[in-house]
Order: sequence, then structure tokens, then C-alpha cells
Amino acid sequence: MTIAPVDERNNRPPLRLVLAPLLGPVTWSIFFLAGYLLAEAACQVGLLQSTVAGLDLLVFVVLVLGLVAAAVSAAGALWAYRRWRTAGDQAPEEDNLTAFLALAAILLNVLFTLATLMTALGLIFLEPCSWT
Amino acid sequence: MTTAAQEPSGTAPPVPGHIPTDKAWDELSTAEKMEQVWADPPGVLGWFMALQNDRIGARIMATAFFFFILGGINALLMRVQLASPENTFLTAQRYNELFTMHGSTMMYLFAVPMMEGFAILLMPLILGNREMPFPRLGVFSWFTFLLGGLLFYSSFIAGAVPDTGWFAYVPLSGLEFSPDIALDYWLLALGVAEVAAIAAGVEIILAILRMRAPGMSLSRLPVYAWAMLVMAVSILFAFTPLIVSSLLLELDRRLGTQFFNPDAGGSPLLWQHLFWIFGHPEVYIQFIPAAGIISMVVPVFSRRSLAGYTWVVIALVSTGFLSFGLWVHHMFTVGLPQISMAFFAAASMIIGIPAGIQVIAWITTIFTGRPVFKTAFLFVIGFLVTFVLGGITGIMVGAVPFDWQVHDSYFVVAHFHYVLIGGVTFPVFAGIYYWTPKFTGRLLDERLGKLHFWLFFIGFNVAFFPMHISGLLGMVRRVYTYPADLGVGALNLTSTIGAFTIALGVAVFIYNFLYSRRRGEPAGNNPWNGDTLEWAVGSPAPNYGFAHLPIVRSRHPLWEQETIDEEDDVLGDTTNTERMLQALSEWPLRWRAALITGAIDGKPVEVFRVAGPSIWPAVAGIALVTIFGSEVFALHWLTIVGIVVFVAALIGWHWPDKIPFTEKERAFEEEFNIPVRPNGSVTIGRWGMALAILLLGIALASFLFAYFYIRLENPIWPPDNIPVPDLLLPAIATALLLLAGFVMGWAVNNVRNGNIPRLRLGLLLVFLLGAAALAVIVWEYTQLPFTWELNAYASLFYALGGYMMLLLVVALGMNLFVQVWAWRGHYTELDNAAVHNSAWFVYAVAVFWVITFGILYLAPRLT
Repeated sequence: MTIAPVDERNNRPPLRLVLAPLLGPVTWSIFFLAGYLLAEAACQVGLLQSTVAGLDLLVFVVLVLGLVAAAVSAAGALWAYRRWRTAGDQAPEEDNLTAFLALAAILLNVLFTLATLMTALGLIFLEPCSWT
Repeated sequence: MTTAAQEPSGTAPPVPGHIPTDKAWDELSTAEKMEQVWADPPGVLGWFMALQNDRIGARIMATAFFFFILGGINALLMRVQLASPENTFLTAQRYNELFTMHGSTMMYLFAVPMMEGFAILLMPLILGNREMPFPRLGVFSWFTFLLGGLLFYSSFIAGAVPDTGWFAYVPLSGLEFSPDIALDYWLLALGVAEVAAIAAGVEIILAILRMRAPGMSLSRLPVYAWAMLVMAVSILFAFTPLIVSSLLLELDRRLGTQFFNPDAGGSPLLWQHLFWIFGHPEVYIQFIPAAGIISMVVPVFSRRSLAGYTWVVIALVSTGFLSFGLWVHHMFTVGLPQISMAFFAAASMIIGIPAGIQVIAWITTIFTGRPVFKTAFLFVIGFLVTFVLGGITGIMVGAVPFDWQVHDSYFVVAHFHYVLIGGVTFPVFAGIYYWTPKFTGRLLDERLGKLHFWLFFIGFNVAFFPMHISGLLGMVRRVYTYPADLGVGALNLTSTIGAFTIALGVAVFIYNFLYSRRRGEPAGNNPWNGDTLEWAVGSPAPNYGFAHLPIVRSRHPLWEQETIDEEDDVLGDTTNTERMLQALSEWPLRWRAALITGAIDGKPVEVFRVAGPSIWPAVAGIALVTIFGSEVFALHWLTIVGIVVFVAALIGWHWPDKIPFTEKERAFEEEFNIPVRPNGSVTIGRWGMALAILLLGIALASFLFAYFYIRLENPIWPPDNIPVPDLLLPAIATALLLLAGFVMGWAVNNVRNGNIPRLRLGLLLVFLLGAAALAVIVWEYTQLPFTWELNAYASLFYALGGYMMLLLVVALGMNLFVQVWAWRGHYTELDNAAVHNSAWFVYAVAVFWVITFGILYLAPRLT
């Protein structure tokens, strides 16, 4: 098995590709924390207590945040997919850092898009500040 | 290699870890000289100074195993008590103490240190390097861990054993219900052990990111290293809030602050939040490295590469993130808004996806491979069966309505033992059977190993499976007995028999280890036909790991590369990296040289000297435990002594021992176009400082979380008619600190240009500005119209301010240290890493203060 030299295959990828796998997880983390803290603020001290389009303002705000976060992660996945299409044919992933990072970015961003949507889903069915 | 590889002849050079030998230095071979350079010093003092990663890793693992035995004995005593209904073998109080000690031991003193010990022991070999980046930090970590653990267990001698569970919920753990020093033991002894975990975590992160073999890009990083990286990063984010929350509880107990007192605006739930922000990721901090071990063992014994490498890597990373979004699922019964519970229930379900990805990858690898059923592999099979069962019940208790039914029942006890013993202890044993030959040179006995496995596996299931049923029948946790008419007596007797079967299995393992260590079959370099780099060196591995650092061109270098010394298979063509590594195998022999590589691409970027043996890390560790231990007994004078010794030890630890930058270093640099740093790595220093700042930032975020949480609990802010704090003095302090930051930048620019007088002037000005800011803040606090005892707001005001004052004192101390060395002519335009590092600390403190100023002084004006 002949493997080309390290210097030729593993050229340093651009920083945005290195960070792309973390886009979805970080976006989900921000959404998760913001949504949770907003919910606590709304249910504890009465913040966001009006309605918008028939929805509680809290639900509306957190849903919008969730949709934005999911869109950001999905966009990250799409961007990574394009990079992977162009890089993926050149060499196997283990010898092709760009393809590896792009694939990792696709998978992580898709997973966290789903995670964001699933986290926000409860808002549609539950009474937000109903205490149990 | 030409000029640089030639070592001077004559007398032995000053070798840090020189071991006695009959031969003169000139008569030693290159390998023998290298062994001398990398050896730990002999004798009793040498024992305290020893820092070789394999020795420190083994010490940490042995200590963790010792605590595992203690925790196991606690469990056996509890099982004797529960073997029959209404038993009186233990009193309720003793039972409370035992379940507290058992849980705390296994969570704090066994699982995490064991995983970190594995990492420190193995990582340099797996990554193809010679040492960990901060070997002295490893020594410090081990001493603090060992002594912290012993301090914790000395509570038995003092007759004040912690008895509030491994979670120490308030108000039970507050002064009112736990007035003696038992809880102080829990908070302070375990607190110091947590410092040890963080110290080891920092070292592991840097080793994995910056000390890999050339060519080991992220796409070729062994899965085990990925797992350890995720674990170590998680430790920083999880353990820091625990240390902060422990500090707040200790302040409530000792100084009368009100963080957790609802009558004074505090909240007991704040403790639960801060604890579980640590407590749930803690489970994954244990499981993720265990999964890494499984991903190493499965391919070797299945004789094929791991299926879905990239999928497994993203599963590990996503588990690390998701694990921080689960903490409230331990609090479903405390009374929370539905929306909050929905958030955490969703995350609890989602985390099943990455776990499932890994399980599928392992099963696929096994089914498409040609498995060899050695003992290590049997433990993998045991892991898969038990962990999947524990994972399924985990998804069940992640569902809020089901959790309400089984909360605090034995169903939950069964669940988390399936996850933690199945998901952690089975992989630990798999790893021990797999890697022990590398460090002892001998295989563990297979016959005894299989006996160990079957006793452990059967005993485990006999012990814990019935707990699902006893829990569903209504048996509650943490209660020392149960009535006969509950109908769970037979189930409990079965569990007790299972627990003793587990103990028998562990006894067989101990015998096997001791027996095989001396009489086991010689292992050879690669007894399992492993694919990763640790199997390329001798067993036991030499002190220096690799004399000739390897070059990686595959995820499975020992399976797919014809040699590990070349960048390609083209004969007769040597690359710069090959020649540089060849030269590095022969030079330097006066100091411990290791290689820094790119975090992403694994390309060589720097040759540097790894720190050598020193007594100071051990002294620092002992002093730190003294500080915490003396506070258990409120011996403040001893605390002060401890602090003085600790600071002195830190200074001794970091005291520069300069090696002259000679023509040889210069020739090496020019010949191979790579920086040579005989006085320590600039890269490692910079990354270490970045991680230290990150840690301090996480601590600040933890304080701010507490601040906002308490804010939400208090409709009027500041409460109790406390006036909004005046702006003038803190604004002056802010201006002074920002100015200090700018002056520090000016000083750094000057040292870069070689203008040392201006560097000295700049450092002096920074000190004066920082000291003035500190004085202003202290003065401001002396003028406050309230004390920390008034209410939770006041307590938080003092806690945040106190934290910032502490950081300022540290920054001033660091500045003084750098100043001394600037005046002694230590720094040049090329050698000034410490100046840069202290500058980054000054910038960080300035930014942290601006945030604190905004929260404490400006925000109350806006709400």
C-alpha cells in the first residue's frame, strides 16, 4: 500500500472548516441555555407575559430562537456538504483532512439541527409555565 | 545528520534524572544516554520528584483502584444490611455514611482519576511522543488526589463521616442539619481532589492537541485520544462549577453567607442546579473515555479497523456537548415549569443517538471481523450487554412521567449501576487486560482473567438486575432497611449474593495481577497485533517512549505502514521531517527533548525541553491539601502556613533553570527549519495560559449563573432596601485596570523589539496600576452599607468581588515574578514567553472585571 507523503495530503485546512463541526453544537448550546433561562425568567418573575399571533410571547420567542438556531445548523451542514463534495473524491478521509472535517461538520450539524428542533418541539404541545 | 547530532565527549552532562551506572558517560550507547536523561531520580527524594508519565499514570491508577476497593467495601457492608428485611447489622446513621462514602468514592476518587491515569500512562505512547507536556503538573495532580482522598477517608478516624449522599443536597448539608465537620470533610477533601482532576485534564488536552507524532492529523487521531480529549475538556467545564458551588456551601456553613437560605433570598435549588451541571456531565466524563477504550480494543480483537471512524468521533463530540444539557433531568420532581422539563427531557432522549451510533459501530466491527475471545474482549462483550440495558432504562427515566414514578427507587439504582459499572468498570478492566503487558512486560493470565470476567459479569447481573424489580415494587433508595411485607426480601438477598460474587471476581483479578506481574508470560512488543503506536516500542516501554519519533500515515500505522520512520514508501528519498526525526533520535542527550506538532495537521512546529524532576510539585500538592485539610478543623494558622508554602512551592516550581542556547541548537534550527526551545515551549506555555484563563472564565460564569438564578428568585433587586451601589469607585478601578491592560500591551511590544528597559518600566507601571485598582476595590467594599450575612444578594456581591480581588492578587504576583526576571536580564526579543503569558492574564482579569462591574454595578440600574 503506497501512501503519499504527509506534506502533500494534509495541507492545513482553512479555520472556518476547522470550526464548522462545532457550529451546530455551539448554536444548540446557546439556544438551549437562552431558552431555558428565558423560560425561568418568564415563569419565575413574569417576563414575556403577553401574546403574539395567539401564542404566548415566551413560546413565540423561544420558537423563533429555535428556528433560527436550527437554520444556522442546517446552513452549516449544507456548507460543509458542498466542501465535502469537492474534497471527498480526492483521497480517503483518513488521508484527506478537508474531507474528514467536512464530513464531521455535516454529521454534527445535522444531528444538532434535529436536536434543536426536538428541543423546541415541546413548546407546541405544553403549557409553558404550568408547574408540576 | 551532520553537525547537530554530535554530542560532546568527556564527563557526563548534567542530566536531571541521572541513575547510577558503572559505565562512564562516554561508554554509554545513545539509547542508554537517553534512558539516563529521561529516568526519574533514585532514592526517597527521587520518589517525590519522579515525574515520568508511566510512573505517574500508574500511581494515579493504583490510587484510584485502592479507592475502588474502599468504595466496594462500603457497598458490601450496605448489601449485608439489606440482605434481609428490618436488619440491624448497621444503624441508620452508619448506613447513611456508607452510601455517602460509597457514591462519593466511586464518582470522585475512582472513575475519573482512573480514566485520567490511563490517559497519562498511555497518551505519549499512543500519540507517538516522549512525555506529557506538563509532567510536573501530573506529579502535583497525583499528590493532591492521593492526599485529598486520604483526607476524605480520615473522616472515619475523626468520627465525622459525611452522611448526606454524594450530592450533598442543602438544606440537609447546611449548618442547621449537619452541624459537625463531616460535611466540611466532604466539601474540602473532595474539593482538593477535584483540583487534581482539573490539573490532569489540562495536561491531557495539551498532550492530545499539541504533542502528536508527525502526520497524526485529526483525521488519523486514534479514537481513544478523541475520547480523552472530549473527557478532559468536559472536566474543565463540569468540575469548575462544582468547585464554585462547594465554595459557596462552605461559605454558608462557615461565614454565614446566605446563598442557599430561602429565608434570606437564597435558594436550595441553586445547589441542585450547580451540582447537577457538574453531576450529569460527570457520568459522561466517565463513559466517554470508557467508550474510547472499547473503540481501541474492539478492532484489535476483531482483527479489522473500526467501522465508521468519523461517525464514532462525532458521537463522542456530540455526547460531550449534549451531556451539559441534561442536568435538570435529575430534578424532575422538585417542581419546575413544564417547558423547562421538556427541554431537558428532549436532550435526555437525543443523547441516545450518539450512544446508539457507537454501539452500532462496535457491533458492526465485531460481526464483520474475526473476533478473538481473549479476556479483554470478553469484558467488551460484557460492556455491550450491560451498557445497552442501562442505556434503555436511561431513556425510560428521561421520560418525565416515568421518572416521577420511579424517582428515588431502586429502579434508578439499577439503572445507573448498569450504566456506570457496565459502561465504565467493564471497559476499565478491558483496558487493564489489554494494556498491562505494555507496562509490566508480561501478559495477565488468561485462565484467571476469564474466571474474573465470569464472576464479575454473573455477579453484576445477579446483584443489580433484581433491583429493577425491587424498585418497581416500591423499595426506596438511601433508606437503611425495608419492611418484610414489601415482598422484596428474596430480591435483596439475591442482590447481596451477587455483590459478593463481584467482590470474589475482583479478588481473582488482584491475585492475577500480582501473580502475572512477576510470573506471567513475557509479552513482547505487540502481543495482540495492535494497530496503534504504543505497540511499536518494547514492553515495558523505555522511559523515553520513542527514541526515534514515528511518522504516521494511517489510522492504523502498525497494520498499514511498512515502516513508521518514513513519510512515504519511496526508497532512497528522505524528507526534511525524516531527517529531523533521525537527528532527534541522536540529539540532544543533555535535555529531555520532545516535539510539538500542529493541533490540526500534526506537522512538526517546535522542539522543546520537557520539564525535569523537581521536588516543588510534590510540595505544592502537599501544601494545597494542608490548606484544605486545616480548614476542615478551622486551624487557620495552619492554613496560612499552607498558603505560604504553596506560594513558595509555585515559585520554586516555575523558577527558570536556563540552558544556554548554543551553536548546536542554532545549527539544528537552521538545518531543519524548526525552532528549538531548550528553555521550555512557547506554544505549550501559551496554550496552558489559555486553558487557565478558560478555567477562570468558567468559574466566573458559575458565579454569574448563581447571581442570575438568585436574581430570578427575588422580585426586588437589590432586596431589603439595599441601595444600588455607587458607581464612582468601581468606575475608577475599571479605568485603572483597562489602562493596565494597555500598558501591558506596550510592554509586550517593547520586549518583542528587544527594548528591555521599557519592558521593565511597563511591568512596573502595570503593577502600580493593578495595585491601585485593587486598593480602590478593597476600599469600596469597606464602605458598603451591608455585610455578606445580610441576604443572598449581599453574599453574591461579596463573592463576586472577592473572586475578582483574588484574581487581581494572582495577577500582581505573576507580574512581580516576571519583573524580577526582567530585572535579572532573563528576557530577550526571542525568549519572552513568560511576559506574553502574564500579559494575557492581565488582559483576562481586565475583561473579567469589566463583566463583573457591569453585572454588579450597572445591571441593577437597568432592572
